[in-house]
Amino acid sequence: MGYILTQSAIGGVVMGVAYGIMAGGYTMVWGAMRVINFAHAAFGVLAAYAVFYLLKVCGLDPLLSLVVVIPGLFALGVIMQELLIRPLANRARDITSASVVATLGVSILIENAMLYSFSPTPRFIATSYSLKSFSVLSLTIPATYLIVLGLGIISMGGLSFFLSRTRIGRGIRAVWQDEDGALLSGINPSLVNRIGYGIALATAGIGGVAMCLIQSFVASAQLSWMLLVWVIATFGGIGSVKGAVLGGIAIGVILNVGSVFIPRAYVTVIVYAIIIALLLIRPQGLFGNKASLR
Amino acid sequence: MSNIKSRLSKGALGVAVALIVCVPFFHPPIYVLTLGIAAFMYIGLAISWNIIGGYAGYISLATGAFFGIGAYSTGYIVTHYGYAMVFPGIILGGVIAGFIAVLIGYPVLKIKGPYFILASGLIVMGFRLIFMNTGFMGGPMGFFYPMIPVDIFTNRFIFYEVMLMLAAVIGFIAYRVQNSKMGIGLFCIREDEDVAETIRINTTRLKIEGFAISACLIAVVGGAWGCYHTHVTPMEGFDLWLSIMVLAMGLLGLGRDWRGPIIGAIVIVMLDQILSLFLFAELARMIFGLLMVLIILFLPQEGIIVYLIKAWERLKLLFLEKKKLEHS
Amino acid sequence: MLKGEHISKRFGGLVALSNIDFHINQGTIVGLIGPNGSGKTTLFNCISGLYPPSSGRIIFKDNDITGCVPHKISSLGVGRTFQIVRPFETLTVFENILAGVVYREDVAKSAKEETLELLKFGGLAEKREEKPQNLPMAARKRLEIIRALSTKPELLLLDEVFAGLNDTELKEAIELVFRIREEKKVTIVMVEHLMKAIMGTCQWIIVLNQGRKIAEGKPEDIKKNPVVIEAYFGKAYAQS
Repeated sequence: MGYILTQSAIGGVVMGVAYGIMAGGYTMVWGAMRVINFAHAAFGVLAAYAVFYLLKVCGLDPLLSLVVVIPGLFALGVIMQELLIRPLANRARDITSASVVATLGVSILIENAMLYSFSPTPRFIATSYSLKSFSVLSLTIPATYLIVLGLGIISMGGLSFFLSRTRIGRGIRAVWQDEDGALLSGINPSLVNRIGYGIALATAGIGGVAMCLIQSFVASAQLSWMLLVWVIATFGGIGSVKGAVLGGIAIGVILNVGSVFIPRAYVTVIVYAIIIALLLIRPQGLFGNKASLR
Repeated sequence: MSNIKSRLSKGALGVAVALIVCVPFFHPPIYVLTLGIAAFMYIGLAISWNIIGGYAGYISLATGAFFGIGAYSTGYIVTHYGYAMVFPGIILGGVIAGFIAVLIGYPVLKIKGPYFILASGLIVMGFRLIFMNTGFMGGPMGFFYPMIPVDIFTNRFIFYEVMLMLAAVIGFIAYRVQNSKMGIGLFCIREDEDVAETIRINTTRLKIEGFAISACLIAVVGGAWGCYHTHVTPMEGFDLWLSIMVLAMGLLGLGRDWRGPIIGAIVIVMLDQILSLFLFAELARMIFGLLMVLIILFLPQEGIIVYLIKAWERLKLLFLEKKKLEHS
Repeated sequence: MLKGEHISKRFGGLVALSNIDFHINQGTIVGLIGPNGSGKTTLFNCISGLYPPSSGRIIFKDNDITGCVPHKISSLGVGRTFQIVRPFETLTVFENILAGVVYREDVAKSAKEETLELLKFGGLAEKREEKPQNLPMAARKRLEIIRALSTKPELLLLDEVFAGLNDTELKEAIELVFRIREEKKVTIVMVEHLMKAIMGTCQWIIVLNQGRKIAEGKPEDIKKNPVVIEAYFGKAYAQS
């Protein structure tokens, strides 16, 4: 029993990290721009397809395909910010509610575009190391798990560093906390927003790469990915990258370990109920702060 | 002069309605009736949604949950007691949905804005998961309503009129709510909930009431759909996509008038049908997604009816000014 | 009519109100003044139920309303306006008032008539089909006040209703306040910054500074009170 539990816990942690990478970028945009990007995971799935085709056509290793994925998704992020988010912010009375519906539309658009282009067959990523695993203390740890953990540390560590140490990252946080003050300090909000959104989608891409390494994916999975991303981000806290990762790990472990005892569907429903309760009691999440809610 | 005009337009409207009601009597191709059934069903759903979505401003994705509750409840009654009990079955579905709406609504309606939208979506997903995984009513395979022993044309005929009637009743109910004390209260909640509280409006109770009425009506439509479709599964009954479509229809007509969602429903059903005919399903849905984005970007807050009225007024003014220029 | 005992309000680490006691008599017009950030609106929000005080009690007509839900407090007879007016923008002026009228249990005549009467009382009758955004500022403020009146309150909390008005509008607004007290028999507590308005209308003044009550008394006394002057202008000025 202990073996099963530890195995599933490990699986949960890794899955949680992969989701957490996606949740990190999502929560940053949510906190900084008040925008709920419901299409976030769809971009992750898009990245996963990019990895698949790069592997199939060019034999490019998934990690190397990040070279394509990151700039590509960054560019998409900037485009989305310019074409959708900025006009929306100018017109909508409540940007957050408007962004839910608008990005829902975008996610439908992307999902069906992918469905049409790539067919509904689930895809796997098979590389030379996909089947390798390590034995540690009678536990089996696939090599891909370690890769995902590494991706998580690098990308989320990088994101935290970016937000706290670089000028633009601090600019994003400044606009988030006090937009007028930031303007007065000479920060260019549209530049900040563009870069912020680009980075957010780039991390969605990294998350997608991480996800496809540990499980199969298909275009229609974007909704279930997104639901979990949203759950994790809400749990971890609005705008908190640390919360996203920790929340991801927590939710991942709950789901995996819980499903040893009761069917996974029930665990999911319980998690939904927890989230609803959380929204009532502490809507800013575990590590968020109240001011960001406004 | 305007009296005659308004009587003429009312007369024209009456004739149009009568024609629509009598369409099945002209023995049109079955396709037309099927389209009509879908249209009236969505009209009913959209108007019901609007009671909490448009009037109160609580944009709900829980439509699918109540739809499924209606389909399952009615199905239970009909499979166990036969079609003689179909009307009580449908009503029961509505009552159960209303009850659940109050239960779930009490916590969920306290969640504001965008998080409410997402939380209400969770409700649908939750129901789907539960019904998929318990053996209740056939689990993932769902169950079948007993077949009604008529040919396909009569079947469509019946359901065309049933859905039409339902849509009309729902429209009437929404009309009454909109012009009642409850209606004004809901509008105030949408405007500014805190201020509404200061003028003695019990926002919590009013929101729950609106949500419950909406849920009942949606469930009734769901029950009717169950009889029509005869096969109910958790995937089809508790469908997030249905919620999304109804939300889009409601947003298109988002506003304080029960007629707005009618236009929203017709537009989207038409779009869906036409697109699916000439393009493949995925492209149709892509356009649907794009449409959602455009609606949010470009449609004013008060919904399409007000927008159309304003546009009509502006056109009239333009026309009048042109005439003045010509005469002077 | 309204009594507050040891009211304190904390927001996280910030202490907005600290040990406030007050007593408002029926039929009076009381002013609540103090420098910016002294906690005046916070006190209003606690009284009207927007949020509960962290400690202390609020008693309205022998009912303990501490921490009650806002709609319950308003149905007991407390009305309020907001510092930055919040009319129902997409409803007409008429509908704005109708909403409040309709949600009372004790409407004697038809709701429409009562609404019209209230509109006439506030001088907004001709504007009744307009949307609030088309009204000038003074009219929007009057709308805010009349809407609060529509619930037939016995106590009215006015939050800076005189701000931003020119001299004529100010005179009309002060008249309106007096008429509200006389004709509608409403007790009024008003937060204000405009000294001449306060001095001319209030019979009693409570002064807050940094969350504490530093003085209270008749307008003439408050004007000369060194503690009050110090709060507004600093020690040096007070001593001079």
